[in-house]
Amino acid sequence: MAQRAEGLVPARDGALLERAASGDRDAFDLLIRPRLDRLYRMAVSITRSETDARDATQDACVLAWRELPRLRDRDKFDAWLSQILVNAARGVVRKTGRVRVRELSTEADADGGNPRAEPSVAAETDSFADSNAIQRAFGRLDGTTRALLTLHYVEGTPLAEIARATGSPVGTVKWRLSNARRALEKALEAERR
Amino acid sequence: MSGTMRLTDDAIRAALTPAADVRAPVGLASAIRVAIDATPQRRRGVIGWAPSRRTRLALQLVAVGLLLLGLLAGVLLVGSHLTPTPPPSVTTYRGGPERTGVMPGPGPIGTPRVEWSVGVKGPVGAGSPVVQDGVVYVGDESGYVSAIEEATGTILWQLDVGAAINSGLSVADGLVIVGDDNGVIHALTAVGGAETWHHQTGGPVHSSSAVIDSVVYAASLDGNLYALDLATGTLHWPAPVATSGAVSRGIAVANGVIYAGSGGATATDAGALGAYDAATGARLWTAPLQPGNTSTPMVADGKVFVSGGLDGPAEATHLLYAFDAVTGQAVWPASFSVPTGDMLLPGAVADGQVFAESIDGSLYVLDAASGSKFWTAPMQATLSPSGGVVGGVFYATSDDRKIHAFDIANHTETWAILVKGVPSAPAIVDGRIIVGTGLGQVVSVAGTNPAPGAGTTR
Repeated sequence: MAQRAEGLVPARDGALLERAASGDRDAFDLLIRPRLDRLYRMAVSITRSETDARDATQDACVLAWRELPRLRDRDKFDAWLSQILVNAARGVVRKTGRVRVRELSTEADADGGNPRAEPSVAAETDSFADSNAIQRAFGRLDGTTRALLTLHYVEGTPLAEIARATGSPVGTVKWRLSNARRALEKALEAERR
Repeated sequence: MSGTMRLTDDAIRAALTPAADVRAPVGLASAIRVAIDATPQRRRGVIGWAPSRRTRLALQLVAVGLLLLGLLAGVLLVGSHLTPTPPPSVTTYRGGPERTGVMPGPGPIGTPRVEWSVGVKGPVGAGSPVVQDGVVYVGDESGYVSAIEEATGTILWQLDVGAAINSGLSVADGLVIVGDDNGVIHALTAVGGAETWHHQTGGPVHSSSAVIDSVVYAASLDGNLYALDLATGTLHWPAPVATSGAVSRGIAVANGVIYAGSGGATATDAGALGAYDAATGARLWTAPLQPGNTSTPMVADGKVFVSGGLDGPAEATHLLYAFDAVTGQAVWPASFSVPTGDMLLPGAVADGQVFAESIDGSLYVLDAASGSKFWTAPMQATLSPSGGVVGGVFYATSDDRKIHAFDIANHTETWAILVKGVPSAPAIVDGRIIVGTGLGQVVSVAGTNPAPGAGTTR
């Protein structure tokens, strides 16, 4: 699991933050460079595309630079930066039209009865999925769902931290995560058809 | 990566984690530096779209012109002896400060269809639509408030308040009230979206606000309730909530009393429902709930309905309670829980029935007087914790991107319609169901038969 660099910013970074927020581009450069690999990896996780990840990372860094003077709580810089990256990656996914969620028709759903009675992917004892299938299924999800799964499963971000970063109650995050995982399972089922 | 594995947490993690040697490409840091060199920082005002002075002046002139036109129209109406009827509005989350979910309606008449959809700046979750005077206001997780013409879906204005919006909006007296993740409560003009005042709290604002008698009531994750003057933003009082936990869902206000649930995310976080005097902030009573988070309270027929518990499936039984709104005494023989003990959130209360959605995938309808189950409807997905009731129809949204309509009398689902993205809580007015979605859309669902007053721009 990737090591996260969240939490309070070190004192040296605090000084850089103050300078960067005052318009010092060199200071911002020094702040961003050690974080770039982590941001890029997170972007790759969400976009599943190196080109898109590069765009998202650059967009996020530029946005962070532009808005840094408005960041009220400098101690939360890393969480704030991660959230900007997540939003940028979601935006790139949206713009590039990589959302390939297959919309089921209402009629088809109505005919399907109660899916709770059907074995889910997770519940099938003989269900196996390889990483490639999961990745393809992940590619069917929208950017928001991808971001949530990435934060939780790839970044190992605690739910409370996701809640803070996304501005949602922890319960809502759990709810969304549960839905996101279900969406991944459904997408995986669709991949296997 | 190759090989087969079960779809376990580890399988997901292994599949989604980039290879350890993935590094930012050479040249990215330099490209970012070049871009930053060409990008000025924003240093004042409301961030986001920044109109020029000339544009601002033009907008102000347009606003004044519209105001004059409105006044003229009013004079003409009076002059022609017509009595103007105030257009129906959904001015806050769940239709009103009591959070009952009862909406002015009507809902779609005839076969429902997507009337219009429009992209906003980010996913819409808790910042679900409110509607007043033919304009829809919605907040998104990218921090934008959007004003949209109800009849056509045309975006009238958009404003970045500076942080994600994860709380419900209120609109009153020409102002749109919205709280953001930076803990700021903003008042924006309904026409033009200019910020009139803002108030900084000590934590993110995730609780839907309410406006009663020109006072804004809001809660913050800093653990306080706030009462602010609607016109000026002047603080009337702050009041700490009953427990040290945060108010992470909406507050309800009824009959001069604010009801706020508070709690946390672990088994050691005490959950509580508190009642507070709206005039002073003084606590009137407190009722303990299950440890964990609490739902947005709903107030109807002298009772407060609220659920509490740990939100993860099967972590601990989630309970739905009913308390006397005046005394805080429990009024049901026993609190209600679903068979699995899963998360249960009340979404509406009307005509003596409580509509609650569970993460177990079912809608539960309870007798508001006794807490006993009237009927239940299995769903194909979990419903969202908000619904709407108009007449004999309960409308709900679900995480499989649908809006559902249930015939309350017959206990049956009448129809469901698919929209782009997981829908937010609905606003139901003028023959339309208006929702925001997790894919950053605002969608209006209307019937094939126009409702009286629908399709017109006010």
